[in-house]
Amino acid sequence: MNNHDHTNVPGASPEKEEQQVHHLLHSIPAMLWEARPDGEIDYFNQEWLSFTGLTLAQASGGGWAQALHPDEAADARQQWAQAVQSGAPYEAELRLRRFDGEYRHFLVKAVPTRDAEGKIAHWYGVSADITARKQAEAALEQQQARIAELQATHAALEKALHAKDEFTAAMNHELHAPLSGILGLTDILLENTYGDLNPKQQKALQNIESSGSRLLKIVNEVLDIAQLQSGQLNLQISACSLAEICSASLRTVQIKAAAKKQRLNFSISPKNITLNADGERLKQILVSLLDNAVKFTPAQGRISLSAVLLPAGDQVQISVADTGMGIKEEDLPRLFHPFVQLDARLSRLYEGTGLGLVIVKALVELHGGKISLESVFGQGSRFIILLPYPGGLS
Amino acid sequence: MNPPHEIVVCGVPFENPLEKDALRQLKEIGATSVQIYTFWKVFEPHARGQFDWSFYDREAALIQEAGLKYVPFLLMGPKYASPQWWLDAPEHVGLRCLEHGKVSPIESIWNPLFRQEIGRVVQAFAAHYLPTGVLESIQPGICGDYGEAIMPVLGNWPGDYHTHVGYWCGGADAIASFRAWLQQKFSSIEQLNHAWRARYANFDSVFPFLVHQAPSRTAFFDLLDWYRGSMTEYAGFWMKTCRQFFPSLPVYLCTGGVEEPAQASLFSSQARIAAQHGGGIRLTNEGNKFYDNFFMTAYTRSACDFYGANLGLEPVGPMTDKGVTARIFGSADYGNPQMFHYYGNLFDDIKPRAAAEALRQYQPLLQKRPLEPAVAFFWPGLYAAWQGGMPDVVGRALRFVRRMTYCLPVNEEMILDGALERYRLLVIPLPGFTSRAVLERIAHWVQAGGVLLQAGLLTDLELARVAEYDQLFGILPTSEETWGHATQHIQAGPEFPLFSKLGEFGAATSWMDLAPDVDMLAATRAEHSFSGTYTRLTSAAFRRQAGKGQAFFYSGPVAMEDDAEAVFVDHGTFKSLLRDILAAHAHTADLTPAADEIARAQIGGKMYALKEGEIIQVTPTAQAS
Repeated sequence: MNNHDHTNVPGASPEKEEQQVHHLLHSIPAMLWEARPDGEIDYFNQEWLSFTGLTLAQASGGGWAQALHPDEAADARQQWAQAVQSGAPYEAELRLRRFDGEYRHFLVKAVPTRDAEGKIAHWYGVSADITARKQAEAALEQQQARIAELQATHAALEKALHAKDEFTAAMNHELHAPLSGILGLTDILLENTYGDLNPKQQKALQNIESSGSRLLKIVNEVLDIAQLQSGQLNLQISACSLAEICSASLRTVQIKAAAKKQRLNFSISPKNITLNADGERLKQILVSLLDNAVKFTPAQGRISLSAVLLPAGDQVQISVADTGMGIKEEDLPRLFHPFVQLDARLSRLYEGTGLGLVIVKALVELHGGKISLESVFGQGSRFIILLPYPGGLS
Repeated sequence: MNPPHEIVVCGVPFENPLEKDALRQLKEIGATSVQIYTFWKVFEPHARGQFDWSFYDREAALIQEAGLKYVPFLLMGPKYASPQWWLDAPEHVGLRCLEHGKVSPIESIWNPLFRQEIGRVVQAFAAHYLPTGVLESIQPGICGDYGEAIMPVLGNWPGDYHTHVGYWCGGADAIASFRAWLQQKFSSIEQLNHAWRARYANFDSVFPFLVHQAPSRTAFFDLLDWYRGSMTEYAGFWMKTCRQFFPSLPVYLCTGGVEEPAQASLFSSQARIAAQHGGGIRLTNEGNKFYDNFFMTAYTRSACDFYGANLGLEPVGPMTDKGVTARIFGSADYGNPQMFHYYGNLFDDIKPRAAAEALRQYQPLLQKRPLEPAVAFFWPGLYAAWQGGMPDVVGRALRFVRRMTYCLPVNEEMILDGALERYRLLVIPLPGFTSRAVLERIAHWVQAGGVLLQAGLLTDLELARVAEYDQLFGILPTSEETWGHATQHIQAGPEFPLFSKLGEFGAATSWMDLAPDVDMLAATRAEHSFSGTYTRLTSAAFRRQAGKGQAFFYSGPVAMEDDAEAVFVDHGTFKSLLRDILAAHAHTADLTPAADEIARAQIGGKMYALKEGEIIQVTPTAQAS
């Protein structure tokens, strides 16, 4: 400590007083320093010295500047000189080198104290570590940039989706209208409305009718999938109880299963799994799978729904198993693909109240999940859905 | 003062040397009128405005000469009834199916230009026949295979054109109507997308869809609402037109026997619209068995009674003599003002069958009367629409209750319109789903003093539980439904004698953590077993006082017949509980038939019984079981 006058410390001798202040400054867990009226810094407390790894001798006489970041040293010196000259409080955000070489961000403030004549007697400074705040600000900036980027992407996607919807709607009309015209007029001709047909004409028209109908079927399927995949499927994510979703889904098939004397089983572990998902879409998925299980499982059969949080804790597995007819192994890989008709039975699969497997798969994937099927022909099937836990927007 | 009762007979052998004898015999057995399929193409065959009434004039004159009346089934919508000049006209628009995009020549119900023709033709028909005094009632034939207020199916005269069971809303006029309806229901596409969980760019990108293509369940029910509403609106136009030109004659809207979603029919709506125009409904498809007929017709009877429409019943086709008697008993029981018969069910050529004698004998029972007090029975129309048909258990339970007392189905529309206020007890014999508004309406009704028996849980259309409804029974948001077999020990009091007698039953689902004020009528015994497992306390039968009313909940088996092959052997648990609750809360007539009787009914203040081929008066005390 230098010989600065600490007259404003009441009720003590100057030596005693100086010792007390010295002790106090050294023990405060904050980086403090003092400067003479001309700006020469001649005191750093222990906290400051410990942080920079400099000794008091090294730091004094302008040595402290070696702790500044090289990119900021010149500016810092200049700003300090300006403050000293003007007598205005000093404030700057600077990087200081730690003893281990790492630079950390500091808010540095210094205020002058004045004597009875109003002249600057001392400068007292404090350097507060704001690295955490700076890092948070940087992260926030990055996040904002990312959000802006995502918003731009989202807007572009929305535009593309709307364009696709409009295209689908237009195609629905543009493809249906001429095809319906072809088929309708063919029917009229086949009914001999415009005169009797000879056998060759009749055969030709029947071919047109048959080919046209096949083409219409394909067009309908393409449009169905296009509409469902782009224009219609949407998720509304919220926290939902998986047990309640499973129970609700089971209830919808309860009567049908009872009519076929089928046993419905349900298990869930742990009981209180809460998923961030679109609960109604999940019910749609499960109802479809359960409805199908009931449909294709013979009387007295068993249908089991189970849900379990996997040991790793990041996925929930939901399975719908039945003791029904099963699906041939060679057909399994094609099952989730559009336009697949495995056989007469499967061509009816999911007609009626259920969703097509393609749509079930799309809904599962929109949740960030996966669906697969294990089946033994003649013994039964087991659809397995893996969903991320706790889940969220995919 | 009862209005005159109509006994309408169709299929009289005109163009037959014995036609006059046939008509005379009809008059003798009590028939009041003859129905004739009256085709537009026959009386306006060549061009607009060139009417030729000669064909129907002749038959009308013969009918009038026999002291009978003429009921024209005025068919315009079906292809077979339309004149060729109309089918060739640019104003004609056929229905287009959604499945294949193919057009049928059956007239589109959305074609405004056809409505101009309807008004013009009905006016001309009235101008010609009303002055003659030959008409008894009018039945418009508007769209279905037999002129019913339903979409085309596969019935009569399908012809060489595209026709099948399906959604007939693929045409441009239907699509435009759907979009306009959606725009009225949802003020913006964002609202629609939120409700449907969809992402349409605009209303122009929305098309009608099949069930499996629906973006969500809500979307499907909206489509169904519009589709059925379109048919109701069209039927309403016909009723209004007929009422305009036949101001004082009964008008009956013909409708099919089964309410299929694809057929766009909602019988309660049709009853409502018919009542608005002072008309009624002719419901088809009755058969030979009383209870089957009851199941087929009771809901429409209930709707007609609630909305104030008349009802006439028609058989599906050929009938046995005993079947005709069963039909007469049913119509007498309902107090319908009209009953329809096919001539061939009463006469062989012109030789009377036993059924003709039965009609003559029991005709005095056929009078229009109000319905007797009844138990309300939930008719889950939306559930049936989604599941592809009414679950069997509904029919079994409805028949079971009718064997004991009067019961009338009420569907969602009727409940929302206030039908429950007429009843004290409501039975819901199955779990499932319905609209949230319906569940809330039932909840209010119970709170106000109604008694509800619910088997299994009902949720809203998206399968979400409705707290206000659940709480009637004491099912809390924190209550848990457990799945898996549990033996339920019955602990109900003396007011449940039949149920208590069973001792125990097996239930596949039951509930735990119910509200503290729940009265458990049956429960598991919470205990540790020797194997170390712990059985939790769950209940599959409980009740709760809810406001001024009571709500009973049951989640055990609902088999209405003993079935040794059931998953869990059941000896009529639900039946026993239902009978105990009926005995305590129904306050309706005891209709339990004696062993040699099929059914009983109170007709004109007296008790009658239907036996095989006969109807006899009985005393209420002469009951067997």
